[in-house]
Amino acid sequence: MTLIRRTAVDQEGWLTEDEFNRDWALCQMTPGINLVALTILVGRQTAGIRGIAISLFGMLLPSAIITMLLTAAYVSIRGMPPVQAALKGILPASVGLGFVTAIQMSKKPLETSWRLGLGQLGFSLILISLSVALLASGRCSVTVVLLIASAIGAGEGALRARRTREAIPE
Amino acid sequence: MSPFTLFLYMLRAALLSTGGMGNLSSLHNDFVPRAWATDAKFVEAITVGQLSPGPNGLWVVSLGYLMLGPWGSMAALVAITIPPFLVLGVDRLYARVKHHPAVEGFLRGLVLAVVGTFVTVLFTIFQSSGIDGLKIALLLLAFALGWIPRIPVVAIIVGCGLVGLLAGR
Repeated sequence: MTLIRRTAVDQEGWLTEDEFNRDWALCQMTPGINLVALTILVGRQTAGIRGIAISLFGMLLPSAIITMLLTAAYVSIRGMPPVQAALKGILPASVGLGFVTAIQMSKKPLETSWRLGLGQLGFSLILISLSVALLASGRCSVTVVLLIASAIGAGEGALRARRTREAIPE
Repeated sequence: MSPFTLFLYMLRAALLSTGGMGNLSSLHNDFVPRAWATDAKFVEAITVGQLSPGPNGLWVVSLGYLMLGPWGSMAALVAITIPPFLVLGVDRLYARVKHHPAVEGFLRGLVLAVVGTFVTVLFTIFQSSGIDGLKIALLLLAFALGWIPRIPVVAIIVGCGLVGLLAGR
């Protein structure tokens, strides 16, 4: 991300700082890999549909091929005892790094709700706990949990908006 | 399971999540109970994804390979390339619905639930491998080091792998 920003904004001047920040915010709202969405936006800005195709190609294909080759190499050595021993150390490392990712993902929504007040922060934390509880109970699939939490979030947002509107006389 | 089925599941998971790792919980929930993949394969794929260049979201390319070989990789790559195109629609809609409270609330609920389910699945994967003191220590160590930008993720993974290797003797 830092590298794309440096090239597109500072070096080539394809986008202004503000445009880049706005684009990045949009990418975080879009499903899937944020960097791919950013590549699409920056590619369109520079050369339209051709820009999208070329930049996506350059961004994804080399990395994807290396990922595939690394996996293939791994599969060929997977059975060896030293590899299995190393994996016992790698698994907790991957999980630990995953928790870092989880906290980074939650940072933005939690900061936004903190700015709205303590009650809102509490509401966000309840949504996280509810998702954990629903999934851990084994009664809901992940898709259902995601839909329930989104629906609660949308309902709360709409309700809060109506209350604010009622509080301010026309 | 055919590459096309894999593609459909991966597309759905990517559409219903944000970020490159957000699809982990959906896929785990879809594949592990059906015995199409194991917890071990998920860990292997995530690790390869972290070790290889490019966005971490490419971890599913590795998972696809572990499940179905090269065709699985290709199915995964196509599946994760499609959802980000929605950014073009989001771009157009943004000006109109930016401050709509229900939309903001929906996104907030979705992101928080992605976090909650993600953490739950990570815990399940960790538990499935059998927990011992060394593993908990390595988890905490990786978690702490993961916050320091100067330490590359690759170094953390290789270091913990070496500890595992030495401990396994």
